[in-house]
Amino acid sequence: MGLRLVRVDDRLIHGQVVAIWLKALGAHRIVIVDDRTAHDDFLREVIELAAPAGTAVEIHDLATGAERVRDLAAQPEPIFVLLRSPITALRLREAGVEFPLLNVGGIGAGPDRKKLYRNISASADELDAMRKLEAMGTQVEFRIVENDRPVSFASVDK
Amino acid sequence: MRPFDVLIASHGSVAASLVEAAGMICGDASLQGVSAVGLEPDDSPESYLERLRARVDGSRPTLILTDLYGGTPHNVACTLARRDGGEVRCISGANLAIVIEAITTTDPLDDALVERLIQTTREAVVDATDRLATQH
Repeated sequence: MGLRLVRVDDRLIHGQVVAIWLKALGAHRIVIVDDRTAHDDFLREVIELAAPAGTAVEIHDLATGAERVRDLAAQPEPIFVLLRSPITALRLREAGVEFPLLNVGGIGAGPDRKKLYRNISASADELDAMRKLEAMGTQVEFRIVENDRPVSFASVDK
Repeated sequence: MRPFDVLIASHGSVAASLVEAAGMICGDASLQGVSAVGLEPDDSPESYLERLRARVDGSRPTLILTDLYGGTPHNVACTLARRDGGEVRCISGANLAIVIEAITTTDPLDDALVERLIQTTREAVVDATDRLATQH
């Protein structure tokens, strides 16, 4: 099954973090699904440049991305799906993309966000999305890199 | 007088420490038009971009030195450079040698200077053990 991991990280491709995940997952293709990034030429360029050598990077908006990820999930090539928000993850799930786990690696603080755990904050909508995902059978866990101990969303959602 | 501003963009306190150390070596006057913006764990790319943008004076060219190619401070600095146009140049892999060279130069911020600064950074990386051994 192609979909090795779906991850939420609002910094997208940064430092060694993505390289570590790609290696752990045996994937060489990153599929980013994010409306803002897809429609911002400068941001796209910068993100594409930040990818590790030998990695294919695709950037789609939600409409095209949902279909693309559904297609790729059914193929053998291992892929890594990268999002900026759990709300996008919920939309993907609602569009029929199935994944048993959502890895949340980082969401920055913001005016309407509350800190949940370490570098992960969430707005009311984002919290709601994570709860809905869990109700749909997708486990939500916080983990920055593969070696970290995962922390379940359920344990911090009090 | 240096005809451009220098902005150091890094993870955490690396930028502030580089500026502090450069000030110790070159004197506080050299820190005129030099600022440090460190990425905090709570920062989103958006919040960091705003903090960087606040330090860019559009009426002067700006040289942004980032700590790590591909890291968030670097990616965000590049987005700023691309988007805001003007005269913003970006060099990754900042070390103390390049900071000192950049803040003490009186040359304009152009291709020749960027090339020279990169040379300085590279020449600062030496296998000291080997050099000591071959000298004796």
